[in-house]
Order: sequence, then structure tokens, then C-alpha cells
Amino acid sequence: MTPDEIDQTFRDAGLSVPAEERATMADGVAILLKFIARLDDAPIAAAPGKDDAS
Amino acid sequence: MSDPLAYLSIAEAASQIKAGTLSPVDLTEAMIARRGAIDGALGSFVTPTDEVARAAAKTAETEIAAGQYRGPLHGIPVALKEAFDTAGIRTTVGSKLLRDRVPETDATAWARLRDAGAVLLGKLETTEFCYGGPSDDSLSPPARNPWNAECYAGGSSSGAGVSLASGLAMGALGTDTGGSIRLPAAYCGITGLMPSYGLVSRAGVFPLSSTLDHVGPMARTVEDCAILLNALAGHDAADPGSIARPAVDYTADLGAGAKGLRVGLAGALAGEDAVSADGIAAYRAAAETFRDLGATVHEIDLPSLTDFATAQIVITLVEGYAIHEKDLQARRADYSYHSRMRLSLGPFIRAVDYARALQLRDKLIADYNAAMAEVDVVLAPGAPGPAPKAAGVGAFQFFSKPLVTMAANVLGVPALGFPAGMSEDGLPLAVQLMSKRFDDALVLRAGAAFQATTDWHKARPPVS
Repeated sequence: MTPDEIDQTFRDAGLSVPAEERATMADGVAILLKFIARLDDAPIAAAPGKDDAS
Repeated sequence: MSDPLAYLSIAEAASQIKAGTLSPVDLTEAMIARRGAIDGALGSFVTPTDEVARAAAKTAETEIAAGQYRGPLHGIPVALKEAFDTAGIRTTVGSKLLRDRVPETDATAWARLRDAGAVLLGKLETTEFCYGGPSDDSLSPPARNPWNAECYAGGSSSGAGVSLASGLAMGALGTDTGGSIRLPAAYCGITGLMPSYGLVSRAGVFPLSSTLDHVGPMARTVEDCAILLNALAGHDAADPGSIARPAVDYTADLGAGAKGLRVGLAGALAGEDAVSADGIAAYRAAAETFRDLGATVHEIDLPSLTDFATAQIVITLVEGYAIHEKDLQARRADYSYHSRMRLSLGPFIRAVDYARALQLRDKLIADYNAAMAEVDVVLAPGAPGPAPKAAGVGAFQFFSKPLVTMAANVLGVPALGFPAGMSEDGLPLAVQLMSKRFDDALVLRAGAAFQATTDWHKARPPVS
């Protein structure tokens, strides 16, 4: 996520984040996105009935 | 006050109170005096309630003298993390946003201790909203670790850990969403139980993450945690997560020992550089202690700590952001540095990510339950290591280096943290025991067996 995308996310959420906090926030976002990427690969349960031909 | 009184266990004090050889009034006055003498340097209490305590102690003494002894908490001085509502007593959750908040009712957990006869000494420092810290710009400065004032006392139930380690209370209540009972217990060298999800009511406790928050007892011994849990456990319709269960005497099996217990080693939680070398050494030594006690001990196959952390971090951020969104939009600058930085990650998580995190949690619970078919309890390190320097704890430290404590919150299982060693620098090291959900009595039994044969829980910090 680019710095501009991070700023836009904050604006969309209605959060005012001062300039001096943005670099540290960007570090936090980068860590969080690594966790979220793991969710894409996580072994999760299939939706009930989704593959049930009956 | 005489120091032997300061470090009496609840069980010891209760025995003396019941026998009439210890006065609840004298005990309470001694605790108040000790706090006045040493807590200025520690900062564990943010709102002492001396007159409330004196009145309750006097009532307890009168009742006991009249033959109306209520049980082992009658006349016992305790304190509460400042996340617990107390009628008429300021409760800020460590935040400038709630600077003047005075609840009208008691949290259920405190009401149950109060009804059991406990004496309220006061409210204890918490990191802001149970998620910040250690931040010097929060409403109350972080409590100082009595083993080394430069070190973090753990969070978020910091004041509870510090007060118990320093002999300023005999028991306390904390909350735990990712380790907030067990980390202060580990860093301060005391004992803390995160009970099974649903066992202890959270009504009247400021929430962070409704599906991961737990309320639990903190004390200096496993036995004292069991005594507190006996009063705390029970269904409460005011908490949507509360589960009706048959009553259990959590002290009943404390003397049953560890012989024959099947102890699983959670190597997966200790890996990934999540725990220091001395923390690992203490964990391995604890495993040997259980072997010596007659338990069978072997490694079990658990999911990775990173999987647990993924679920814990995403779920906590979403549920926490839902609580704080409006205040973050309106007055973000009034939050302390660490909590506003962490909570501001909320908007970066999509609904689909939250749903997947919940599904991942279901999978982790299923995998854990399968592994538990082989064992009774699981032994794991209790913290990443000894207490780190407070100044070095960054805003996203426990994101970049997930906490070994997070797994139990995701699973909703009991987790008992207790001292199990000492670092070269003289700081406590800890382990934790987990089990199946609602097998709280089993982790207490195993923990009591450990403390019956070791002295780590008797180590005291250098406070006068």
C-alpha cells in the first residue's frame, strides 16, 4: 500500500493523522497487511452446503 | 507494617481471619499504610479507596465476630484494574477521554467478590483502554516494574501485576484479550489466570474485543487464584458471552498433584523466535519438573503462533475499532500515543478479512481440540521473555513479534501464567498452562502441583 493509499484510507475513515505519525503508521499498516495476506491462504472451512450436490 | 503481613497469601490470611487471630481491620490498615509508604515510586494505584476499604473491613470484622463468616474472601483486601466499573468510584480505563467518568453500578465480577466479603483497596493502573501503553502521555503514567523500574510491568493489567508483586494487595482482577493478565503476571513474578471464555462475567468491564476479552483473577499463588475464581465463576445474563455451567469448587483438586497428568509441550508456540533463550530454558525446566512429579510429558502438534496471532490481531483490531471509531474521528489526539496508533489500523481491515479471521479461529479451535485428545494440559512459555525495557516497547511491537499468550484468547481456553525462573538480570520468567475450554480446574491443579515443589512464586522484588 502506498503512502497516498494509506492517507486516502485515513481520510475515508474520517481519521486525522498528523504528518509526524504517518511513517510509523505506515510501518504498522505493512505489518498488518502481512497478517491479512495470510488469511488469503488460511485453511478455512468451506461454506456450508456450497459444494453439496444433493 | 510488618512485611510478613504484606506477602501473606489469601489462603493464609483467610485461615487466620477465620480463627480470629488476624483482624481484617488491622490487615486493611496495614495494606493502606504500605501503599502510602512505597507506591509513590511504583504508581500501581490510581484511585485508592481508603475509606471504602476501612468501612468494609470494619463490617467484615463485625460479621465474623458475630459468627457470620462468608468464606475465604471475607475481610481480604483486593484491588481492581481500572477497567472494572465501581459504583461511585472514578473509572477512567486510563484514558483522558473518560477523565471524569464515575459509574453508577458495580461490574458483576467485583460485585461477586464484594458479596464474598472482599475489601476494596482501590483501582489499579491500566494501559489506556486495555490496549495502549506503555505510554507516558496516558491519563495515568505506567506503573513501574518493582523488579527494575526501567522495565515494562506488562500490560494491560499493569497495576495489578505491580501491586501484587509489591505486597500492596492480596488479590486483584484483570482483563485479558491477548495476554493482559498473563504478561503482567510474567513480568512482575506473580500468578494470573485467564479463565475459559464465558466462565466469568465481563458485564461492567470496559471492552476491547467482545469475542476475545476475558476477566480473571491475579494473585501470588495458584491457590489464591482458585479461591478468587470460586467467587467469580457463574452465569450472568448481563454478559452475552456468559455460559451457564455446573458449579465447580476450583480449590477441590489443588492437592491432587501432577502424577499421571498428560502434559503436552507447545513447541509450535515457542518457535519463530517468539521467546528468548532464557524463556525457553525456563519452559524446558518446567517440563522436567512435571516429569519429576510423575506426569507424562511430550510434544504435541499445534498450529503456528503466527496463525494464532493473525486471528487475534485482526479480530481485536476490528472489534476494538468498532468501539472507538467515533471517538477516534472526533478526538484522536486525546488518546495516548500507543493506543491511537494501534486502533487506527482498524480501517485497513475489510469485512471479508474479518470473516476469514473468524473462520481461521474456528479451524484453530478444531486443530487444538484434536491435539488435546492426547493430553490433559498444555505447557507453553508464559511470555516472550523477561520484562523488556519500557522505553523500547514500540507502537507495533506485539504485531511484529506476536505474543505467545495470544493463542489462548483465540481458543477461549483457560490459561494460567506463573513464575518458573529468573533471568541473569534478576527478572522473573514465566510459563503458562492451558487446557480444554472449561477445564479450568485442571490447569489450577497442575499449577498448584508445580508451586508445591518450586519456589519461583515466592521470589520478591527489592521494594522495602
